[in-house]
Amino acid sequence: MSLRELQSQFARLVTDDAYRESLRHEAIGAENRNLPHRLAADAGVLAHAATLKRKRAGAAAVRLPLVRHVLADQFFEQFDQFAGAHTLSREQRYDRDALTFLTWLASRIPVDEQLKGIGPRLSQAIRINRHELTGRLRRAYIGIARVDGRQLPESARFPNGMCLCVWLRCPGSQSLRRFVLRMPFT
Amino acid sequence: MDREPNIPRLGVGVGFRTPFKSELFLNRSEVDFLEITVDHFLDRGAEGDDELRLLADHFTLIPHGLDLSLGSAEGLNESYLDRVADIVEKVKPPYWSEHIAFTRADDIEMGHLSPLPFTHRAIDAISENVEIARRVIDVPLILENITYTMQMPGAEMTEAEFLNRIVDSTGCGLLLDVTNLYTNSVNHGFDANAMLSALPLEAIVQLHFVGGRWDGDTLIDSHSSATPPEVWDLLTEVLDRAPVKGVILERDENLPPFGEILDELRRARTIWQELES
Repeated sequence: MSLRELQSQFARLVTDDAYRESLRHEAIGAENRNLPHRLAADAGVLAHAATLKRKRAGAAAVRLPLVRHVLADQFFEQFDQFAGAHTLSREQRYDRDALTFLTWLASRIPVDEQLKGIGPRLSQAIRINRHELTGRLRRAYIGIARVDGRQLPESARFPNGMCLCVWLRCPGSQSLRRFVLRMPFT
Repeated sequence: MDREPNIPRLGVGVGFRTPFKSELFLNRSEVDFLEITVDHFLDRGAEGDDELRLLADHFTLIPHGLDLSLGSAEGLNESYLDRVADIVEKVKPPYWSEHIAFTRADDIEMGHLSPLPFTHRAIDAISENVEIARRVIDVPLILENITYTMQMPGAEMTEAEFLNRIVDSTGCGLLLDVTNLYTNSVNHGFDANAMLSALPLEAIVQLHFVGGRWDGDTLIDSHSSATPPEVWDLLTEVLDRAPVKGVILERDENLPPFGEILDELRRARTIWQELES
């Protein structure tokens, strides 16, 4: 096998769970296993795949704080499923990865029993984090913060006295605008 | 013998991370130079440009790339290379660094350093890619050893021989990550000091050091903890034997109070000064 073929096989094995599992199953009991089969069964390949996913999940967790908050421990479980079937994009990779995860996650809400119960809150969190990330990709996003009555008097109207604000830079004028998100922060 | 006499001595520094930017400037005199991760500045926009300029005004910056994929048999991503060149041009470093690894194959971006087989063909691939990079970036390049969870099949030589041949073939200096050397020695059961002795010590330009974490029986190169005693010992050994120009503490995860980072920088500086005196 040439270096190029070896690298191609390795890259696919550590990024595509279904492909790796299918080769691993084929290898069980087979007498003459070829190199891809042997790699698929190698514990080091599995460990490398897990490292890749952990790195992507960490980057997504930082970019999606509300979704991370709403999903709690389920975040990494869900991301693991997502990452095993979706590869990174070449440009703005972790921002794009997080956005693709949001789309995938939204599609899971109606069909995943674990997500159904938190569906409305999760949908809202997905919407906010998507706005935030999309803005960042357009270089318009400045920041998001939880504010209370000291910073913004109108936040007192919300049940726990706190709300979320997003600061965006307007294209063209480059002026800074603040948007108060009409949702309580829990 | 020093294979890179034109590279100045930089001292002891740290990998720049945004969360400790303020503390960095408050303790400027204790940080001799900074290593910046190129990939953090690729999509930087005007604000990133400002940050780069601010850092370059106060520190010598060494660009450190993650994703050039110098070991890819399919060649380099030229658009990525051009963007790295743009950063190198802006900060005008004495050298820049990348890894002995591949991160991309067949349009699959792995987003993580993956090991090369210790083969002649892999040496050829990295040498060809280094040559392409040199045509675009006319600044010395040094290459870093990585950690690996598995050895790629088909090895024709040991890792030390592989690194020696790469240094010879490319003419690049070595960025020896002491923690990676220690981590591999633990996970693959070899003697780190013996491996060190087999490396091209005269080609070592810079060091990385930091602590990792354990996952069961495996030591993970997570850059997430204080430097362990074994890595301090190896660092001391290399500083004593190689013409090192710079030492970088490479902390990423679980960032401690900046005082703890400064403590480690002071300790490395003291070791180096004592060896020289």
